[in-house]
Amino acid sequence: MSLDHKLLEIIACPLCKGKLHYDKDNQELICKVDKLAYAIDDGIPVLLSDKARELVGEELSR
Amino acid sequence: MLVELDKDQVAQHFGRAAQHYDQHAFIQRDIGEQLSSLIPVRYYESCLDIGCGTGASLPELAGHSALVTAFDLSHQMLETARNQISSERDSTTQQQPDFQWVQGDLDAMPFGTNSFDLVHSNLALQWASNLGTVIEQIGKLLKPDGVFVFSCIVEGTLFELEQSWAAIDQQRHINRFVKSSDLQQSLASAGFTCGEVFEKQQRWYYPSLGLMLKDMKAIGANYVPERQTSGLMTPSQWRALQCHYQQKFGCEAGLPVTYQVLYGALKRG
Repeated sequence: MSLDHKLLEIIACPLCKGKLHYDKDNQELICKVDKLAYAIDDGIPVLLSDKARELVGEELSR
Repeated sequence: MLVELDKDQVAQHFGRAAQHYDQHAFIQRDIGEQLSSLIPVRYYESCLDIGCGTGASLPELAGHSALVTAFDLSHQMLETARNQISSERDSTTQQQPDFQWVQGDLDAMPFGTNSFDLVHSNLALQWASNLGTVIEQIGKLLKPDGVFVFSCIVEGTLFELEQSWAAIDQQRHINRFVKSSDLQQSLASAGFTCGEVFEKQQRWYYPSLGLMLKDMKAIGANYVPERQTSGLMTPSQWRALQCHYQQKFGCEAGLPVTYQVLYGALKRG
């Protein structure tokens, strides 16, 4: 399931309110500022910072 | 207006309630219907429903807006709402607007500025840890001409139950609700000065205290952040509670339950 572009236009990082980058391969939404990856659970973005995965190592330089 | 809430617990609480929510939630629906009559009639490009629950307001919002974003803390609630919308969609052939689903916390709303021209919220704002900040955020999510339509339960809600419990023990058993004057002050501080705001006391009647408490549980109203014990009552406490409620508030129509609701349909001035 691919996220709708209209959804990508309005959602933001709950912490910094910055744009999220859609990682289609891993089905995650990335905030580079806060170094967090938000999951997409059954097509529903889980935009909760305490449920997000911290980006590590080479992921940060991508 | 700061309340420490464990959002995981709140989400679980509503998650557990998701499947049984609609049959118990006639009060929510009743208030939601009154709220929908306040939505100014015009075309909205994009609408946000904060605390969509099982999606009771979504068909109505779809009638106002081309794009409806349903937002809730509970994944189960969103799933239930999505299933409901898609089953309704199957039964009609007409063109439907787009729905989007986002899980998040109203205290840290994951949306960019100027994203919506209508923000709707039926009985969800009382779950905010910091209502003033939430309202300020809503001001930012809205486009300059956008409308904020809400209902929020305020102090005075469930006073019969609160007083009955107070006669039995010193613990808190129900939510602490925000003061109407504080909420109105927050709205004014965020610039929401054009439109209408009014407070309404609404009362429903239950045949028994057991059914009433079951409903309160189904809508999450009995989630109390600072409660220390498991919440189970002893048989003697239960009898004392029933007895006090019946004697003090019981009437021919049954046992009353009062909601004090602040309604608003506002734009920034």
